[in-house]
Amino acid sequence: MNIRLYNNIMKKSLFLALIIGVASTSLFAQSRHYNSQSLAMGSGGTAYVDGFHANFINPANLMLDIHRPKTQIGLMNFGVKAGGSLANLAVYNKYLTTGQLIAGETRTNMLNEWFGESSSNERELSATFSMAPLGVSYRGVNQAFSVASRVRITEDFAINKGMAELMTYGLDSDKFSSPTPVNFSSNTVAFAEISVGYARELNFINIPDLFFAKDIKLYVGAAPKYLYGVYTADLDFNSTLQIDNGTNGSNFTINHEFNYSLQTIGELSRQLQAYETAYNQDNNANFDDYVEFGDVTNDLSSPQATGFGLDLGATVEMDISSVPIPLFVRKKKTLRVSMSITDMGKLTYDQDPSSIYADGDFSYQGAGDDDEFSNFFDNLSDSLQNDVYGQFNSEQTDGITYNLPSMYNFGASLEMGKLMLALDYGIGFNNNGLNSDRSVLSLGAQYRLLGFIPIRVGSRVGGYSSAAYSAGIGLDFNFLEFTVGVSNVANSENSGSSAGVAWSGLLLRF
Amino acid sequence: MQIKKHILACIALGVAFTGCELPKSPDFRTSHKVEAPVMYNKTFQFMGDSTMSVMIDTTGSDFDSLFTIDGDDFITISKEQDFNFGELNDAIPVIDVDPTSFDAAVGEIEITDFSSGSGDLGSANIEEVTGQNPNFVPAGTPIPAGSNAASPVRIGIGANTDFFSSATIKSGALDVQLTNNLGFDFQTATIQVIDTTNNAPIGNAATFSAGNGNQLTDGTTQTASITFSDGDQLRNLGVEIVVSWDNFNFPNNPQELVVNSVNGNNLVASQVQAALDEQDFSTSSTASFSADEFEFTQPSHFIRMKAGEIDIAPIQNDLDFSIDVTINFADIQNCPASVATNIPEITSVDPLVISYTQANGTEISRSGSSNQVIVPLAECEVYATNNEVTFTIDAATENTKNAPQGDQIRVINETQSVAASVNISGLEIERATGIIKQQTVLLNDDDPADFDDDLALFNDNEAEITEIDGLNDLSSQLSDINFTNPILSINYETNISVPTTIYGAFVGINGDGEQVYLRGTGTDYSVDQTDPISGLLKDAGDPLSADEMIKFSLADNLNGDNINASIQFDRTNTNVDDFLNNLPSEIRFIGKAVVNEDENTATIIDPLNFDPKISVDIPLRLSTTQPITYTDTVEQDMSGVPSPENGDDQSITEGIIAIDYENGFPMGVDLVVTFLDSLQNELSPVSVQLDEITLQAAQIGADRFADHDNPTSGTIEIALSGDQLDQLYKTRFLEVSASLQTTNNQDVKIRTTDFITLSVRAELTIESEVN
Repeated sequence: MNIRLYNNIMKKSLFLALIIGVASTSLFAQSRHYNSQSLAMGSGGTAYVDGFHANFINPANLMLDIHRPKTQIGLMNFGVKAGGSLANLAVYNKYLTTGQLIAGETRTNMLNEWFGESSSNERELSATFSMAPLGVSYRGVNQAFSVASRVRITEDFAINKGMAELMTYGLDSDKFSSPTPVNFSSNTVAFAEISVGYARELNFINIPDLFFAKDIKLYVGAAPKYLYGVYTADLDFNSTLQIDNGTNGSNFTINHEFNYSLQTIGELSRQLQAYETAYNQDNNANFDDYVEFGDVTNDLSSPQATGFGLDLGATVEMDISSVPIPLFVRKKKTLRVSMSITDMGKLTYDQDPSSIYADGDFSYQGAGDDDEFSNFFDNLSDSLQNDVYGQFNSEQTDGITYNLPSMYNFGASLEMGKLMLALDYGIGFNNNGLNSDRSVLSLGAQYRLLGFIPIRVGSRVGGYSSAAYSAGIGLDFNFLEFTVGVSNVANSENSGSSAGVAWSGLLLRF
Repeated sequence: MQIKKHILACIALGVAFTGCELPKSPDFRTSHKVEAPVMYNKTFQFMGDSTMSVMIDTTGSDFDSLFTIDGDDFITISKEQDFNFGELNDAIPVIDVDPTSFDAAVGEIEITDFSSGSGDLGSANIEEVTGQNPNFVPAGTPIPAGSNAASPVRIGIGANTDFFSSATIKSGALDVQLTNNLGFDFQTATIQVIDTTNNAPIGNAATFSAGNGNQLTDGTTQTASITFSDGDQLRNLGVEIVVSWDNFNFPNNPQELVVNSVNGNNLVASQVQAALDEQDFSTSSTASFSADEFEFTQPSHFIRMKAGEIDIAPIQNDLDFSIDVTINFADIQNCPASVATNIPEITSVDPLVISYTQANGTEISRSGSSNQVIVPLAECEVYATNNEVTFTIDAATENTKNAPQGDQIRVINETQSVAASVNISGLEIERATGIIKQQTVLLNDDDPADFDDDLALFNDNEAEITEIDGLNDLSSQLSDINFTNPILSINYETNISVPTTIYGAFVGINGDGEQVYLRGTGTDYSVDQTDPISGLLKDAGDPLSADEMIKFSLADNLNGDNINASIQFDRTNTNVDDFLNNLPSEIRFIGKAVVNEDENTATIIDPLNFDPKISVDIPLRLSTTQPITYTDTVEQDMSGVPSPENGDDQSITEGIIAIDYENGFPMGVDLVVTFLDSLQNELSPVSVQLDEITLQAAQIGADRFADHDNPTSGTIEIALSGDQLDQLYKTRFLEVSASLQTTNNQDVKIRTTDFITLSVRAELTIESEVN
């Protein structure tokens, strides 16, 4: 057995042990801020992300001197992550990429594997777009400062198996002979934030050296932030579908019991209320004449919500060069152990907030004299849009409160020469966006090839999807960084897939 | 060692990538079952308005006036179309009048008075008569009988006949009145007019005698007539008198023999130089009306003019007299008073009289001429018996005796005249009563290319082509239909009072080009070879036969009022059942009207109003010895139907249409739907045809209506195979062929409330390919 194979086996063993260990605790979560480095290293970063990005992960890391320059300016950093149990690539690849006819037993098996047995089972898909247009940080001897901006757009979408059955079976009276739940939901949030970070070394606390750790430093930091809400909408649709094929002398009938609610603000809220008013006066009012989804331009001119948030963190940094780690015996070794609580705070969208809702039982037998076969469905669509779903009530609300995807983060990183290993654990306090109250464990490694080419790999277990692998590469000089990172899952069969990409933007240090 | 670390890092990066799960390209097929009720328990009433589901929407633009419904909801297809017969105004006679003129000569001139005074024109004493001087012959001296023949006594009278200068006598006599105051009786006295210039006698001598009853005894006044011969020149008047006497005693105080007067006695001259009384002369003239199209055979026959005029040219006056002229058109009557406006010469409008007189200031001056006079004849009535209008011209010269002295003596010759032309023209008739000559009037426009008075049925420039709205669509789609009692009517409004017979040809052409000529089957409407009609052709050189034509006469209307009348062609008098069962989409007509075929007295009025409409009435009572086939090809673009043969990712693998029906219609229906491609050929290689769609007819009641309480019912299920469904995308047309048949060929009646109730459900299985 050669050494390379050995190391490989070892690392895999460790990786598997960690997975099993963490999984046994049923602790999974993840919604923390990411940049190209942290995404490539398993979406962690609690103990190694420095510079202005630290504002959003662990403000205490403003004090880290991983890069010698004290000042950092970043432009146009962004990243996109998406995933969830609905994004089940395993089932997708098994059934939808092999030329099979999705019918009969094949269709049944596919849906069972995707959603489980019950038609009520739901699967989710979430996506977050994050961009930090500008960030600046400065690290002094004992304290550090930063200012950073960030825009986040988060979309959560979920459907149940009944909806998937409707999509794959069509209006099949055999399939829907009994009431079948057909549900879906969608939540969209967009907001910006400006974070001001401060960190300092608690050098007034004298921490003695431990048996292998020397020069122990404790950093703490806080980053309050101002939140500027742009848009939000929250739709929750629940229904049952039953189809009577009319073979018993009755008419072909589609029965559809439904209730839904949509909470929104701003232009969409006003349009929906205008439509409701028009509909109450004339039930021939056309929904499309009043509501233009996506027409939120007017909402950008003023904040739809404001709020404040806070990120807190602490990091202990120590020199453990005395620890004899093979291959890195003579290398300086720095261990950092950190924890943080991020995204504390909330936004209240209070510009024309409203809630529309409907609760009804729609029985459709067609117009009865449709000239063409397709007219039945055109009329069905029109009826649903205008007479059923369009016949809603609305009410003003106090506002829509969005709790930031708060989470607790714990991390450790070990920097040994050009190699850095990292481990992160996190758990969300809510399920907003990619946040999950399922724990998440991240492992990552970075090797600085030739000193300026960081090769990054990582893995993430738990959270909103199946275990994910990640990698990244780029150029990282002391004065300049330009790196990218990507992530994906290895097998989405159980908990769905996720994928992400991040770009460092232009990062200058001096 | 450093290199190994680098390798390890790269391996780690590679493992990270290869260990990831990546989505493959999608490659799968879905199968969706799509079910929909196209309709459920939908009742289609045969006919009604748009408030209900109907097969025929009577409020639709094509059918809004096509049907009439009786109390039993029984339906009749009724359609009236304007039908543009040609102008019948050509039947109004055209009358031409030859130009005429008059020339009124003075003619013989009568001489009456010779003197403006009275009494003594001349005298002779006793010595001049007897030669006995009273100064020497004592009174009482016996005078022996004797005469003065040897020395007639001459008395000049010319100096005292101031009204007379000379004359060329044609005939007549001059009455000379003498008074004998000589104191003895004249046995006879012979008097001779002489020209005192040359002493030549003029005319014949006249004798006063007892035998003549005018013996000039003493103290008497007697008259004798001196006759003249034609050509005698009467001038320088004087008389010579030869007196004879018996014994008498020479009178005491003898007076004179006096010429009291000379007067013309029917004394007519051809030329006179004299002071003349008013000389009247007259003439008449005749204007002849053409009799080609109209004859005035009775005094009551007349024409009332719509237009026309009399043009009297300036009247030329050759005389040295001013004259009055009056033209009397006794045959032109009842002209409107307005005719005289601005025409002072018109002195009467009933009858029409034109006067050029001193009284109205229009007299014709000496050797002058009158104004031209144009008299409009609109609204005048002309009674031109025997097609002639006679008018008289009366002229009168001035009386020169009333003229100033020195201007009294004029010369006048019998040949002198007044003359003018009279032209009656532009006559248009408003109303005419008389003998309207038989005329044949074209009811269509003659093709400008041939102007031969022939009309060709298939010449689009000549034939009247009419489409019966609503039948057009049916005609190309229905065949073998047999309506029991269709009727075609010609409804018209007219004021024609002249007996008029129309000879024409109607040909109905259905959507398949099949032609049926309308012809009479009885005596009323059948055309006979001997009928006075010709020039009706199919095409140039191909005359229509008698059994391809029909004739009909317009209703009597002696008063010429506007009346509405109708000519009805039904199966008892024509072959209209064949004609209309052909469902003509196009009806062509040519025709000629023969006006006043018998040339009896009639009245005709301009304008001739003849406004016909053609009306079709088809009661929907029918039977089917053969199925009525209805075929229609409709556009149906089914290119959107997915098919793998069209490169689509989707295909329909199963297709089922289920139909449940109740038929309350008195006819059964066999329906075949064939799917056609863009060239209207059946789809290939697998044709698609739905051919097992049969709806049984409803039960028929005794009233021949469908029994709505017992409609027939049934279920039809149509399934298309996958191969057929794969061809549907080629479909651009659907040929729908329906066979309608009454049960056992019964005669049935269709009503608006007949119905079909349908429930149609479609079930498709659609496969979609995603890759």
